[in-house]
Amino acid sequence: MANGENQNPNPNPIEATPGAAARTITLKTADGEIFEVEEAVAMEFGTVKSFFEDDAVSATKPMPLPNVSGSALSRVITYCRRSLEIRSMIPPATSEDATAAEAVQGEGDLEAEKAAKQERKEFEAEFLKDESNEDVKELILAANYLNIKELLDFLCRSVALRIQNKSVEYARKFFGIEGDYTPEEEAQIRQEYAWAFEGVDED
Amino acid sequence: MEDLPVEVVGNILSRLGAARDVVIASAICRKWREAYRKHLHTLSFNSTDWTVYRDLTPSRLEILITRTIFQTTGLQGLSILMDDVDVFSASAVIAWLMYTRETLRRLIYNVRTTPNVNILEICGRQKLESLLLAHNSITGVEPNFQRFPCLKSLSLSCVSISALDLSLLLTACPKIETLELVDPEIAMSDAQVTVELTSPTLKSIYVEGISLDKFILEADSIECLHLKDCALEIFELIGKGTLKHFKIDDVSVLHLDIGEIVENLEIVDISNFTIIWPKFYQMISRSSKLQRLRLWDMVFDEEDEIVDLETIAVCFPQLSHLSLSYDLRDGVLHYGLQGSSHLVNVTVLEIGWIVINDLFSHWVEGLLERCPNLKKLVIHGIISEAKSHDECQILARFTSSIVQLMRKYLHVEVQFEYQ
Repeated sequence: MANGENQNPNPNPIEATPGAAARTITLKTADGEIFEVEEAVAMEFGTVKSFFEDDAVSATKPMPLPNVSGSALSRVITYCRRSLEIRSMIPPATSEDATAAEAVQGEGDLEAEKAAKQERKEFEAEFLKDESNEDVKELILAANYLNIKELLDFLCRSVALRIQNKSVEYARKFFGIEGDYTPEEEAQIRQEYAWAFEGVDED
Repeated sequence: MEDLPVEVVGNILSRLGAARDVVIASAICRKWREAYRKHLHTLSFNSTDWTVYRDLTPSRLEILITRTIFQTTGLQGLSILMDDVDVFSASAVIAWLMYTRETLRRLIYNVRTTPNVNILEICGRQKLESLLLAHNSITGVEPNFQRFPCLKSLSLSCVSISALDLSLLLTACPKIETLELVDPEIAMSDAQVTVELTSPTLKSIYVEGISLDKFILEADSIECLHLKDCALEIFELIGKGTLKHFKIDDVSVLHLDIGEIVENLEIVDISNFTIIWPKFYQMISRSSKLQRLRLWDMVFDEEDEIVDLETIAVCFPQLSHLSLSYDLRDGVLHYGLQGSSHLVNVTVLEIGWIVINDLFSHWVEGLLERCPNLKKLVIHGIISEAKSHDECQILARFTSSIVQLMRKYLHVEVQFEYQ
């Protein structure tokens, strides 16, 4: 994870709070892999959050994630870590660690917000670059199961961009779905929505 | 992707948003069709999405929009932005709004309706959070039974509304934070054209293309005020000194009052505005938290009306971004650069000319001397179409001077923007 580009004085905000032990939470995936994740990151997972809030469960006992593979969880953790870092680039309303140069509160906010937006854009563009359709699907299922709204929305947005302006056949191939309409039903849909099927990119 | 839950498919379809893409995707398989019918929350019919919309008659468009909307359930965001359509029939528009009434949170609609429909009366009000309306009229606002309890953002463009209704509308929105008024047609009952708006929650207001005698805004939480292309005799802001961003562009106003308390001002951006510096300075002199000051395309009549760096340095010690563009003449240069206080926090300097002259490079030099911590310099220039020989020579001399000048300031990044 590259930390050098941003101007945040704390390049590793998750471990930055001095004195506080970085609590980790143990997660066990469907294929038996064990992951030790910083508490801040693990709490981004809605499923994990409610598990530890409802039950006074010891944080050392590994939480089972039967629907998530090791590779998917690893990607998810990468995303959430980076996302937390980017979010911490924007100083909160009352910033305690503002240095003299950053004492100008509002200015810090404006510039920081712009920088954060740019970082997020670049990071998100890179994140899915080498992922296959199957990988993306796995990530979506993992994000859905773990209840991570930000990641899920990002993945759905990316998928939507890939099938925008494309034909039904292209989308079916992309998702690996077989159409399950009868020929009559299919014909009816195409007739009812003839306007939409005009000039479609048969790529 | 066969294992994708139908709600997730609904999420994907909602990200697609454009009606045509949604319809095509719904033909993928039964699950996707179910997602379209039960889990789609955003749908848009925008003329920019698809060129074929332009070839369809308004009636055909009405049919297509009706059929598409009526297959959905629980739509939260509906956008109908059809720039090429002259008018939609009232019955169709009423149908769309009534169908989505219970669940709609965001509505964008910009087509004239005939006969005229009171959109505010028909659209969903309980959950509406954001409304953008254009090319329609608003009449008979009744804040007692027409409340918008969740509306945070309201944008009215080319809308005809009376001053009274506009004021009542604002009171019908107890949580409103953002208001945009562009080219409104304000009907007035008496000779004097006055608009008086009150909102304790309003944070940001943008007004463009308005021509009034009096505009009074009472807003105790206001943070951003932006006026563009307006002609006003009196503009008065009554508040609790919460204003942070103040921007006026191409506005003529005889009497401008933004209140006594201006301590929270962070950004002041004035362009194309005839101000008398001493008067204006009086208005913002106590804004010691000012971070950005932009005075652009300004013309000064008298020498002592000129903005001078000494005043800026002393009054705004936290200034980090300074942008100046005005008609430079000998007196302006001399007076403007008098004093010696440094602007220690300025890291970005933007300087512009309307008509270039040889004084400009001296001006840049003088400014650079006063900004010891400068990191970036942006020079904005306007090149006239008919480039006279003289102008080219002046530009050449200017370029040489800048090259030489910047050798002393190697750490400063220089950018040129010519129009």
